[in-house]
Amino acid sequence: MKRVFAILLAIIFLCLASCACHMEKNITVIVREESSGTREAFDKVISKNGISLKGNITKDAIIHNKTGLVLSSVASDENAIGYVSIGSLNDSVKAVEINGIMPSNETVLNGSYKIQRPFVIMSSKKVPLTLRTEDFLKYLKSDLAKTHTEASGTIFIEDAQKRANEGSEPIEILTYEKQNSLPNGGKIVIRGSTSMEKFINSAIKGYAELYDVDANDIFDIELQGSSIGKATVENDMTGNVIGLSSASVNEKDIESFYVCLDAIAVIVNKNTQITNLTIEQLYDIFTGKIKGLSEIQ
Amino acid sequence: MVTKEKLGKALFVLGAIICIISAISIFVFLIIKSAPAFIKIGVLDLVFGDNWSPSVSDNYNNALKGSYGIFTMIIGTIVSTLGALTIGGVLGYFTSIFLVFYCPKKLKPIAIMIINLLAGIPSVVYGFFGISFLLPFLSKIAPNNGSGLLATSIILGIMILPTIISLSRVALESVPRQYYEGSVAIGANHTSTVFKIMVPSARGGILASLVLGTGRALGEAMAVVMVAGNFPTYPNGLFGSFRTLTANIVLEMGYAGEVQEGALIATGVILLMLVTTINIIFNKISIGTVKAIATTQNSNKIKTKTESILRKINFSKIGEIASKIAGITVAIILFMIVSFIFVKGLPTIINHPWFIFGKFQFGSEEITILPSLICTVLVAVISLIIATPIGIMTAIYLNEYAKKEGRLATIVRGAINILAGVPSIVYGLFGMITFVKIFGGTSSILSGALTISIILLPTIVRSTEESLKRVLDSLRQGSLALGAGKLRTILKVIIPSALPGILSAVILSIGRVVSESAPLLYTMGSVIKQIPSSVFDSGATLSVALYQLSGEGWYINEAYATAVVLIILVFALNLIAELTVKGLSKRLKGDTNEGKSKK
Repeated sequence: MKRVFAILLAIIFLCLASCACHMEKNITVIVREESSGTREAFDKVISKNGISLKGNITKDAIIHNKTGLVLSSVASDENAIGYVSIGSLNDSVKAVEINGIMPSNETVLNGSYKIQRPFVIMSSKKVPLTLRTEDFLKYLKSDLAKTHTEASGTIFIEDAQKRANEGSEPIEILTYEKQNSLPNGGKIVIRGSTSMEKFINSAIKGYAELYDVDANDIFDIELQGSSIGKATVENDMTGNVIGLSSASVNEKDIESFYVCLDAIAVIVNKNTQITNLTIEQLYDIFTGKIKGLSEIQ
Repeated sequence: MVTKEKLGKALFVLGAIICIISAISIFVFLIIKSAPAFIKIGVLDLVFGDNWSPSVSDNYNNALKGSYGIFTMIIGTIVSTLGALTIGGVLGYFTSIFLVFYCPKKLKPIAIMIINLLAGIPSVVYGFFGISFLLPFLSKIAPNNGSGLLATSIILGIMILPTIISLSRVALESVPRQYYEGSVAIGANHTSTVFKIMVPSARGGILASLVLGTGRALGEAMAVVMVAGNFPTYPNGLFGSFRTLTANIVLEMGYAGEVQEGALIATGVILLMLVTTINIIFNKISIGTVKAIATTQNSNKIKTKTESILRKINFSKIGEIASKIAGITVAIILFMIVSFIFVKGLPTIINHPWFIFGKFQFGSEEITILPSLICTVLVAVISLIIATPIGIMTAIYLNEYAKKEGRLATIVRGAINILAGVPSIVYGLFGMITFVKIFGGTSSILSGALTISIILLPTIVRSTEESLKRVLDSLRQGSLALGAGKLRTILKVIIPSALPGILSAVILSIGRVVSESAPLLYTMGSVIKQIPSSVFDSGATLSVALYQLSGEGWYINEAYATAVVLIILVFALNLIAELTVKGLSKRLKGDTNEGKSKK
C-alpha cells in the first residue's frame, strides 16, 4: 500500500511541476449547458464567415447550468468572459458593447443589438382551457403584461406581427377587461423556463392582486426548464397548464405567443479594460482562437 | 397462534421482498427507458463515442442531428475518482491512524463527532465552498480559473474523507489488543508497533474503506458540477474543463429533448454499472478481510515481523508525523468550510429574521425559507413512514428468520448492497421515470418522498440488523423457554432491546433527507414558493433551495444563510442521535434486567 501511495504522490508532483511552467493566464470562457435557451440564442448570433458558434466552442470552456454560477465566476475572475440574460445582470460584473452597441430597449427592439431571444407563453391546442387559464392568458397578452416585463428587465414587444410565430396570424395587444369575479377553474399550473422566473412571478402577483386573492391559492408554479414546460403543455389533460419557453416553439399541439424579448448581455470582470467587442472577436474568443486578453485591443 | 406466527413471518419476508423489488426495478426501469436511446444512437457510439453535442429537437422517428457519445465523461468520472482517492485516501488513511493511536483521549469523541458532521454536510454546500473559495485560490497557480481535475479531486477527496476515516478507524480498532501488547513486549516502541503490526493487520478493512469511498466519489453530482468546468472533453492535466457522468445528468436533464433524455438515462445506466462493479469488488474484499484476519491470528508471524521491523524504525517515524499532519489538516479543512459558510451566512440571518419565518410573497425580494423547511419536514416524515417499517421488517427477517447462507437471505443482502451503492442522482432519474409519471407527470412531494424512502432503506436495514445482532441470545432463549412464541419474542423482547440502534438509524436518516438534493431536483421540484397545501404539490427542500438560490444569482447572501441553517440542522440531528442512543441504552439496560427477572 505504501508503494502505491508513493507512486501517486510522485504523479501529483509531476503534474504540478508541469502546470507551473505555463503561467500566462488564458481567457476563461464561460458558457451555458448545451440545451439552455440562453446558449442557443447566443450560439446562433455569434458567427464568422457564416459559421455559427454551435459545435465549435473551445474545449477549455467552463460550462455552468445556472445564471448565478456564470455571474459569480465572472465576478471572481479577471480573465473571465460569459453571458447572461439581461434581467439577471447585476453590479458584480460589467456588460460590454457589441459592435459598439449597448443592450437597451431601443437597440433590442430595432434589432441593432443582435444577441436576443423571445420569451414564449405556451398553452395546449388539444384540450379546451378552463375559464381561469383562458383569462390569465388574456391578461398576459394584454398591455398589462408590460409592467411585468419591465419589472423583470425584459423588453415588451409592441409589434403584433412579431408577437406571433413566423408565418402565423399577428397577435394584437388587447386591453384586459377585469371580470366581475375570479373566473372558475382549478389552480393554474405553470411549468417551464427558469429564465422567466422573475417575469412570471411578477405577473402572478399582479393578476392575484387584481382579484384580491392569494396568488398561492390559484397558481401552482414549478420551473425546471423549457423542455419540461413544453412536455407538460403537450400532456395537458385538464386545460390548466401554461408553459414558458425561452426559445421559439414549433410543436404542432402547442399554441404560443411571444410576450417579450430578452437581450443576452456579454459580461466581463469589472477590473478589465474591455468595453467593446465585435461579433467576430466574440467568435474568436469563444472558439479559443483568441487566448489572452492582450490580443483583443 | 400458529397462523399469527405465519402471518408475522410473511410480513417480515414481505419487507425483504420489497427491498429486492426496489433494487431490481431500478435496473429494469432505467434500462427500459434508455433502451430506445441505446438502439437509436447505437450502443458502441453511445459508450465509446467522444463527441457529445445533443440536439433538443432530436426524436426517435427522425434521423439524429446531434451526437451522443459519453466516453469522455466515463474517463472524466474515472480519473476524477482516482484523484479523489489519492487525496481523500492518503488523508483519510493517516487521519484514521491518528485518531486511533495518536489522538489525545479527551479529543477523540469530539473528533469522531466532527467527522460525522463532515459526512452530513450537503454536497451542495461543498460545491458552493468549492466555487467561492477553492477556485479563486487555485486560479493563482492555474492557467484558467482553477476549475478542472484538481479542484474536483480536492472537493471529492474531502467528501469521501468521512467514509474512509470511519471505516478505517473501525478496522484499526478491531485489531486484537494482544497484537499491540505482544509487539511492545518484544521491545518495539509505540510508533513502529502501529505501523508494522496494527496497520498491516487492518489492511483489508482499510482497503474496503477506500473502495467504498470510490463508490461515493463516482456517484457524487451536485458538488462536481460546480467545480469541474463541465466541457464534454477528456480531462487534460490538472486544470481544464472536463465533465463527469453525474454532471452530465444534472446539467442537461431540465432542458433535454426526447433522444437526449434517453441518452441521459443511459448515462445513468453506465454510472450504475460502474458503481455496481465497485460494489462487487467491495464485497469480495470484505469477505477476503475476514479470512485474512483469521490467518494472521498466528503469533509466530507477528514475532518474526516484529523482529524485522526493529531494524527500520525510521520509516515508521515518517508515518507518525504524517498521521499527525493529516489529523490537523482534516481539522483545518473542516474549520475552513464551516467558518467560511458561517461568516458569509450569519449576517443575513441576523439582519433579516423574516428569512426564516417570513410569509412567502410572489415577486417579493424578501426570500423566506419557511416553506422549504416545511417541505423538508414533510419529505422526512413521509419517507420515514414508508422506509422505517419496511427496513425494520427486512432486518428482522435477515437476523431472526433467514438461514445464514440461505438463498433468499443472500439475495436480500445483495439487493441491500446494491441499493446502498446507487448514486443519488440515479435515484433521481429512477424517481423521475416512475413515481413522477405515476402521479400525473409533474413533480410532487409524494414522488420525492417515495424516491428518498428507497435511498433510506439500506441505512435502516443495516443499522437495525446491527442492533438486532447485539441483542443477547440469552434474552431470546429466555423468552422462548418461558413459552412465548417467536413473534411474541421479537415484538416484546428483541425490538425493545434494539430500540436505541433503530432510533439512531431513523434520526440519521432524517439527516440524509435534509442533505440530499440530486434525487429531489427532478422528482419533487425546485422552485422556492408557498407552503405546500398537499403532498401532491411540488416544493423545494432546504438543500434544493440552496442549490436554487445560489444558481440564479439574485440571492447569494440568502444561499449562504440557507447553508448555515442546513449545517446547524445536520449538526443538531447528529447530536440528538448520539444522545438518544446513550440515554436509551442506559435505561434499557435497567429495563431488560427487570423484565427478565419478572418473567
